[in-house]
Amino acid sequence: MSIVTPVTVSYALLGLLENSTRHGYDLKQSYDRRFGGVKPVRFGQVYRALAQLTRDGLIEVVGVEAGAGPDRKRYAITDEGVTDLGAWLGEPEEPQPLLQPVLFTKVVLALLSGRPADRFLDAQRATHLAAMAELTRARRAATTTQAAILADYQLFHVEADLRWIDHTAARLTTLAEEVRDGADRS
Amino acid sequence: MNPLLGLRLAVSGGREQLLRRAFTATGVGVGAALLLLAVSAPGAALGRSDRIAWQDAATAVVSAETPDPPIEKADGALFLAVSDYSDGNPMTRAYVAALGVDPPVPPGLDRLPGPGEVAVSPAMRDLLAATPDDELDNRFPGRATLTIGRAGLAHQNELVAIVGRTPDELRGVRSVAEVHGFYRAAPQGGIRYLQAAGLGTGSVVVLLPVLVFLVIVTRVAAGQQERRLAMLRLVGATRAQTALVAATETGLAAVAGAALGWVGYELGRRVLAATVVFQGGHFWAEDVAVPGWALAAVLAGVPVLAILTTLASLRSVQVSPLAVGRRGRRPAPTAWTALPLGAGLAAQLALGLSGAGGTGQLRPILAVLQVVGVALVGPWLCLLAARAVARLSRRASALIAARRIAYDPRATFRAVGVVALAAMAATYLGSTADRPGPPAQNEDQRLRPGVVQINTGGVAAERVAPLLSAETVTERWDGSAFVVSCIELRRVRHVTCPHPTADPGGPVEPGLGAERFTVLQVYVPTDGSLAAENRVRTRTANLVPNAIINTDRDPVDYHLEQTFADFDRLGGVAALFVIILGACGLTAGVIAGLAERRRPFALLRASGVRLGELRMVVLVETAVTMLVTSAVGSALGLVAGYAATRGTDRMWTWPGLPVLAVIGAGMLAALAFAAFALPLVGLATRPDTVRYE
Amino acid sequence: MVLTGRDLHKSFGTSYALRGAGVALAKGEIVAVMGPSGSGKSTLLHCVAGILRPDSGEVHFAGRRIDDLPDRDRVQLRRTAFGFVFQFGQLVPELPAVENVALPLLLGGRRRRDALAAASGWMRRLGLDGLDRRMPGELSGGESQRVALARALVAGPAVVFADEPTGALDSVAADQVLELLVAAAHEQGTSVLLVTHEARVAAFADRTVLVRDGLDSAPVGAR
Repeated sequence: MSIVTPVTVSYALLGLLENSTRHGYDLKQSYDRRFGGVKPVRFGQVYRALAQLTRDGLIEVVGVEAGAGPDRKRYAITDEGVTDLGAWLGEPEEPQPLLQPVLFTKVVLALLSGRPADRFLDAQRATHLAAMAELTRARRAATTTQAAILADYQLFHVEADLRWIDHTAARLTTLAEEVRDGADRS
Repeated sequence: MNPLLGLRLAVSGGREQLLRRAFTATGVGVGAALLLLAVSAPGAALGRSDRIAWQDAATAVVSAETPDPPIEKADGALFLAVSDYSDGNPMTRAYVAALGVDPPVPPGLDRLPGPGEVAVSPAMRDLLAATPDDELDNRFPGRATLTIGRAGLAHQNELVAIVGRTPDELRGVRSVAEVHGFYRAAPQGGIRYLQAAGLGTGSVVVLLPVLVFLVIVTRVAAGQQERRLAMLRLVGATRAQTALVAATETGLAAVAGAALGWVGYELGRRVLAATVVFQGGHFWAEDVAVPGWALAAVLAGVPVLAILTTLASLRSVQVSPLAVGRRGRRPAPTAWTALPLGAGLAAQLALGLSGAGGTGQLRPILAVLQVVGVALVGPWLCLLAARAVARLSRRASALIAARRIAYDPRATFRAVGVVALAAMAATYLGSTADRPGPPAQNEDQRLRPGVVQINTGGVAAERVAPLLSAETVTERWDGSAFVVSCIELRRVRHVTCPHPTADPGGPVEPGLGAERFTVLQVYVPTDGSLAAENRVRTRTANLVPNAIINTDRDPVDYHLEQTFADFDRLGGVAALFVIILGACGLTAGVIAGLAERRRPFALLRASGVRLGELRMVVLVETAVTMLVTSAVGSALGLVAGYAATRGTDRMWTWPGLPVLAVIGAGMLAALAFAAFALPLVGLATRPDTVRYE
Repeated sequence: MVLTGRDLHKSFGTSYALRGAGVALAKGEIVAVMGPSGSGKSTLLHCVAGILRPDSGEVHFAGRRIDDLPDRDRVQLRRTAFGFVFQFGQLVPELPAVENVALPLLLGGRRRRDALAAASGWMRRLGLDGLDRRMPGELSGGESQRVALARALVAGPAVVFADEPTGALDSVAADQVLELLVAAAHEQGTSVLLVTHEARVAAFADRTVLVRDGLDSAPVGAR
């Protein structure tokens, strides 16, 4: 079982639904196409996530196709869902290891929904910088080299994220076109 | 890499490369032009002697010291040339009589003037037109039908006349000789020897700084190239390929420089010809010229020298492609560097003291050795000076300058070496002076004003009878002594009576029958006017053509004195020459020093160091080294001069005030010129022109 | 605020380096200016340090306006109140390390003995014992940057400007230099303006200002 929380998956599905209403099956296909490389999920996870989202009132069932099974339901995002998604995208993540799937998802979703991805990246960068400052202070105060090395490890990783953020920020336009192209097809 | 790529690389590059190449080309141009002018100088001076050598044809036959003139024609001619004067200016009066149908002809003429004809120089023609007949024209009986061309004249102001006579008219005249040919070039011996030796040493002393200067210039540019070439090496160029690029780049700039130098030389020699007065006249432009082979050699050799220097200085780059800029420093020069110079000086002193008189040939060689010795010891002197300055100075800029000199004394000395060599040469020449003692004639026995002294060489009294009168005084020769009445002599010369008895060659009182003796000298008092003097000269010339006539207007030993005065003047030209070189060398040094430290200086300025401080650093570096090396150079010149005069009959004197003034002025001028480069300090170190990333 | 720059514009020829950027430095504060190459961060440093004159905008230091001062006064200011550390190439290659450090004092007229003693003291403080007589060419990158730092601090400046001071160093040497810079600054109460494109370097500062295309963005606050 992967370490990443299902939260990411839920929001990814939410973001896809914001675009248009879909069947469960379509949704899974769409997710695979966009995020499958980053964080693959099984059908089971998808349906569990959809069920949870419905319970939370973020999505609703708007139609049922003939035949039995969860993949026959048609889902649409609710107003609360839109608000919740917006809040999640706007809130920077706390720096931690293995943030990659989350950051990637957020960027793609932001671009997909036409939200300002560059502002998201700026906010994330600011948070990371603050974290680095904190880590540096901690490392400078470290009394043993072992403690210093542990802090260094985190520092280097946070720095790596920052470099990815700068790198992506520089390529947002190309990325946006690509993401929108894909949207037409799914 | 094919040559074309090398060529492309060599001509590519932005503004900085262009500036560097322009700098090389200019430096090479200056050096080449000066080199060519220096090479042409001896030829110009000696060329004159060659052109008027024909005048000595008769004297050579008569005297045993010089070899006879060459045999050119089967038929001969009777010839006599006499020194005459016109208002103190030397004039040559010659007589010639053909002894056959195909006699020898002196240079400048197609044929000999026949009886009743006179060949004159253009200046003489003008003088004849301007002077009354009885003063000048009648001295040359005949019509001035022929003009003597340049090939037979020293310069355009020369006064020469060749009077055509019949053989009978000349046969009875004393000192006339039969010649079958004329000298086309000056024979060895006498003044020419002195001239040649002096010019030889002088040329060496002047040529070497030019060569050193060329090396400096190319090294400055080479220092800049290193970075670029190290990059090429990094990318994978082989040593040969980088060498090719470097050589092409320098070569192109140097060829352009050589062309510039040629133009400069052509202009320079015309300017020199028009402005320098030597032996009474300017040079013709053609005189100041180098033979074609020398011109080709210099124009080809200078770029080759530049390329070789560049290749030599590339060695540090070739060591490792990653060594951008020199990491290791060459070991500091030590006191051992003084050894060659010390040995050379000792050898000179020993040679001189042991009385080896024939050092004429050796002198240029010794001069070269001395220059080399100075070049070797110079860096060590700079190092000593730097250490002293560092210890004694209070100001920070002096400290920086001193450390800079100590860091690379060879580079600093290269920049100032020319001036030091110049100082050495100037004191050497100034102290050896090549002057004989005061004129042989005693001041006490000078002619009284207005008196015309006629030295007949010994003629019968009847010949000069028309000249004699109650006022004239006659000095005769009785076979063993001069015979003249002291009281009479006192009328025309400043002498004391009675005749001093201690002098064995001196005059004695006439005894009985003195009127029968041959007349040696006749003194004709006149009213002192030029017209009267000229009339006496004219009459005398027609009576006794070979007589040498003097008044107190003429310097007695004119040619010799003039020679040395002229060499002083040539010395002045040479000094100017070397000052230009020195100034250029200093400037090149300043620029090189700037280029190497551009970034640290710019960042220092950004950090708040005043521009004036940086300029002071550069100035102190240059001035201190120049002063120290020039002072030592001057001292060495004096010592070498002393060593050179020992064992010969030349005198060693302290160089006069003019020489010292010239040295001082020269150093100031060089420094002032180099100061022109100081604004570059400001430009090169502007904070916004140096990239910070 | 000991040093402020406001609405600074600066262009070189046709390209704009600064389009209204600004920065503020409090006493004893360490501020990092971050941005990609070409963002104008170095130009911003040069303008507030008085090395360049901005085309428009104002710079104030210690209550005085300094951007419109004549060159001579700005040079004087840089010499007495500011210290500078650049990425490389600032040491005079012919002077041994201790004389390089003492240079500001020597140029200011201090007696040689005193100046060298002070310089030597700073070298010891920055861990450069025994390197007094070494020439810059014989020092490692980290050592020569520490010498440069010593030179910047020796005259007790009010503000130290560091432009990519660790750009040419490996991470350990860089950490050393930055650690010393921050410690010395805190000790002396010196303000520091640190220009860099690396987050790890900026992390040493109390506050980071981002510069992009000649404009600054909202600073990242300190905790």
